[in-house]
Amino acid sequence: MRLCLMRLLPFVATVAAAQAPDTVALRDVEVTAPHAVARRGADGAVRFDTRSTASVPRTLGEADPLRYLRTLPGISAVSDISSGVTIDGSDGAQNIYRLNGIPVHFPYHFGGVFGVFNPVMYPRVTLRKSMRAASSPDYLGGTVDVGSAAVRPERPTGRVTAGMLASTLTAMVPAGRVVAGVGARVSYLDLLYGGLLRRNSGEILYNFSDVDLSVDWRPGDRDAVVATFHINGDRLTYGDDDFAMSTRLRWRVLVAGIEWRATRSALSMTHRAYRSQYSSRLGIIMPQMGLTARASIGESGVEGRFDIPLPRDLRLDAGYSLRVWDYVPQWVDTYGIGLSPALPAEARVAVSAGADAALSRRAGRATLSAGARLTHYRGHGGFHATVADPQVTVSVDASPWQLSAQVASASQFVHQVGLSEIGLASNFRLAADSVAPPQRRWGLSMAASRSLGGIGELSVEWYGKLVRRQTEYTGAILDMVLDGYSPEDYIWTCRGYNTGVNMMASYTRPGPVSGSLSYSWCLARRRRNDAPGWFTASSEIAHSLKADACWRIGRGWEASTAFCLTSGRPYTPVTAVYLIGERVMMEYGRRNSARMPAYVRLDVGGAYRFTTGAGRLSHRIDLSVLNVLNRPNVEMYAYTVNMDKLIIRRREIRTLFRLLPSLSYEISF
Amino acid sequence: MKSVFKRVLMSMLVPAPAMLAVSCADEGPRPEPSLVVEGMIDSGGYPSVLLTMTALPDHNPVDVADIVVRHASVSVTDLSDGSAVMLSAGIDERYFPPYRYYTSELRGVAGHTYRICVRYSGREAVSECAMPAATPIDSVTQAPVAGTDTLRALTLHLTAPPDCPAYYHVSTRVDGSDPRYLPGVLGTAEAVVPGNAVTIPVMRAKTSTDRRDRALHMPVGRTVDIRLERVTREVYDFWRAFDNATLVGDSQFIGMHESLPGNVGGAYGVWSACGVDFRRVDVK
Repeated sequence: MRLCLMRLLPFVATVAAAQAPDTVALRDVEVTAPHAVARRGADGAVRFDTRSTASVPRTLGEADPLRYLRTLPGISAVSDISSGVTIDGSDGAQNIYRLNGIPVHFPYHFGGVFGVFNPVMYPRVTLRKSMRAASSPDYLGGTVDVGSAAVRPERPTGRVTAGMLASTLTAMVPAGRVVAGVGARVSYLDLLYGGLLRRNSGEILYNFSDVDLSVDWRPGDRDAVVATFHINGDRLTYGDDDFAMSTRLRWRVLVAGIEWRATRSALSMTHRAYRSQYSSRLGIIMPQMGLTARASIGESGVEGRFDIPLPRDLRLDAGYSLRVWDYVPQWVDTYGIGLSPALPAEARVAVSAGADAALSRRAGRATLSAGARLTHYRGHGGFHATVADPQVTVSVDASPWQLSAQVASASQFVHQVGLSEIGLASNFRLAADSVAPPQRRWGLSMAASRSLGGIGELSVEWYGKLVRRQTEYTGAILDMVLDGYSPEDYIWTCRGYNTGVNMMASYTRPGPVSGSLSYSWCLARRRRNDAPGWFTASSEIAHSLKADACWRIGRGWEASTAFCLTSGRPYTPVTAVYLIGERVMMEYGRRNSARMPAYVRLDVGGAYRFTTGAGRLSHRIDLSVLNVLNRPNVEMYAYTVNMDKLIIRRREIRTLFRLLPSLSYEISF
Repeated sequence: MKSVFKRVLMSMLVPAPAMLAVSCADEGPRPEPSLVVEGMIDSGGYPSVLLTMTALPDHNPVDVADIVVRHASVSVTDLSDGSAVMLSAGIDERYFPPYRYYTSELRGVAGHTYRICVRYSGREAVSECAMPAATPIDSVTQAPVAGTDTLRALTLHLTAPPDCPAYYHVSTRVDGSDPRYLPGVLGTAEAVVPGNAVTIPVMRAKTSTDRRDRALHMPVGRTVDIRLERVTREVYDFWRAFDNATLVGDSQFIGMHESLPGNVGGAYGVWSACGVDFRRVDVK
């Protein structure tokens, strides 16, 4: 396999980034190396570089890191239009995404097709599923860290991608000790895909744009200052002629922060200040009337970490954090109905201050790490809590096996609830209070991975987690119009457990073909704190089989494919349909007691690369087809009356992505 | 090493068929069809009941004719004076499905409690409902609708009665379009403080049966009959949940999995004894 050395460097340099801020890029050198995509570290984290994810067909022309995540075991989306993923059975609301360490409260464009992260400016991805690090943020589920490349370019670089859905421009310009980066992306989905996204009785209009700016300043050999800025906006309208109603969803993400990394002797440290905002607006539009539900959250924070080597092979990893959340729970305003204009919901503030420390020691082949995080939290209505989250991790290098086990607890202070059970942008955030106290989980996880001597790698993970005080929302949109509406009146909490197994085999033998195969099993059950009876968690994708492969044909040509077969998502079944007021009404059965049909999808892609200008310009042409089997994966069911035939029928609302082709062209220098 | 790799691959592929089997849509056993009651008796009016059965269409649709209940025994008893009547049944094209149980031998009186009993094919459905005193409509105002000259937004005004809390539901009928009164969208309201002014938007129904005229506001040049029903809390809860389901139940973006809180034992639906006031409005 011919692989550019640039693509291998991030793996080597990831851990060392903080210690070596003055690294510079090497010129591209063609070498022969195994195809390496995602690597599992001894600490349980999975690391990959978006520039090496060629084994997955590009989604509508874009190599998206969040899309690649879905090909890994234990990570599934509950629906093609859902945002976010379940990670080891955790609800999408229990996972957190960070851009250069700054939390991003909603990192998706519509349908999870694209993440908001620019894969050129931020190619480095670190995923933590059940196994946590001392630095892991206060969330119960997985953590996805997306960051700048560890290697700074020494000459101006850039890339322009023009696809049928969106186009992206990215440039990185070094000037002395500063590297400035700029990225911008704009979509024009309606232009070319409008017809494909039109269904029998409705259509989707959707567009988005995002802008990234970054500055990487190295004032000295041992210091680095990185500023990050991101903003994106999405506009979605879904109209359904059958129901004379359209839904408008708008959301905006703004992230800004500055980070100082320094090494002093053997000490390395990182300090960061940031602001992250997310706002959404859901509109239900009927002829000449409608209602709008708005919500927002902002998070400001200061945090830092210290990595201090100590005598006797000891190492101290310690950190501090201070976070302030200002948020407005979802509130509804109406127009054309005759109701008085609603007053915006009261803005609320919550604060947390935390410190953590973990001491690790290497003894022979084993490394033992033990630590704890202590957090004091103050929320709305005078609620306050102090929580301690200990963790103990053991890892053993029994070459060729790498073994690790961890016992850890975690807390989460920001809940995500709302009217969508598949985590759409309309859901809103609430900080913990007396009605919805901080969520907790206690988990035991074990992992083993084995190198197969140049052929590939095997890995097996097991996790068991107890979840407490997970929040659910039962409000309906009219409840929000009521005087005195308080979201807490419609929130209930539940407890439960997640357990499961992930297995993965990757084939990376030097040669033209590489790929991976994975299987996951998950069991996630919940029980209301105020009611008996267990129910299946919405995040339980019981079985999942995934495969991807890449064939480097030669002379610049390559082909790739990704296959996915998963259990259908749990849903609350309709047990009876009846007519009241000449309208179809539904009676629902036990919560999440049924499953959608199995989800099957095969994507294929092909690419051709070539260079011009004596190798200075690299070109890539991608052709991909999503869901090449044209499988009509079912998203939901609706019931309608056909007055021509005088029948009541069940309508399957199927995936938008059926035999969806795309062509893109990329030029980089 | 290769054999280890192959064994691992096989161990992952073997679950696939089993996975497919267990992953197929699992919706459990199909429940037995149940009675559905949509019945009411007005103050000064007569009982009227639509009786159907539930259905559960899957790949095969359900014929509307098959859910109509034609030979049930339907009785309404005035528990305040003990009088009881059996309802007659017959085709009534104003309704959908076009079959109705009715009588003109029992007239509703505010303050009385009415009991309905339905017997059909071994099933029995029973409900009791007290009839509150009607609240008069103070006025109905009209306002232009943004973006169109052909529609008017109507608002009903009333004064909360002394015996609050009081619960209301508004039904409308547009002359020439609607053959019967249908529940207006956003047509529920609650009055808490006696003497307070209460306003309720007056809108057309959003039905599953009419796709031709979708505007929910009232068309200029038409006559609209408005029915203000004062109902019990249970009936109000039913219509409010109905309103929520009507408003957003069709949206992919909003999960709505709440069943309607009916007040009929042994059946789905609602039995409503309501104090009513009427108003006819020419939309200008």
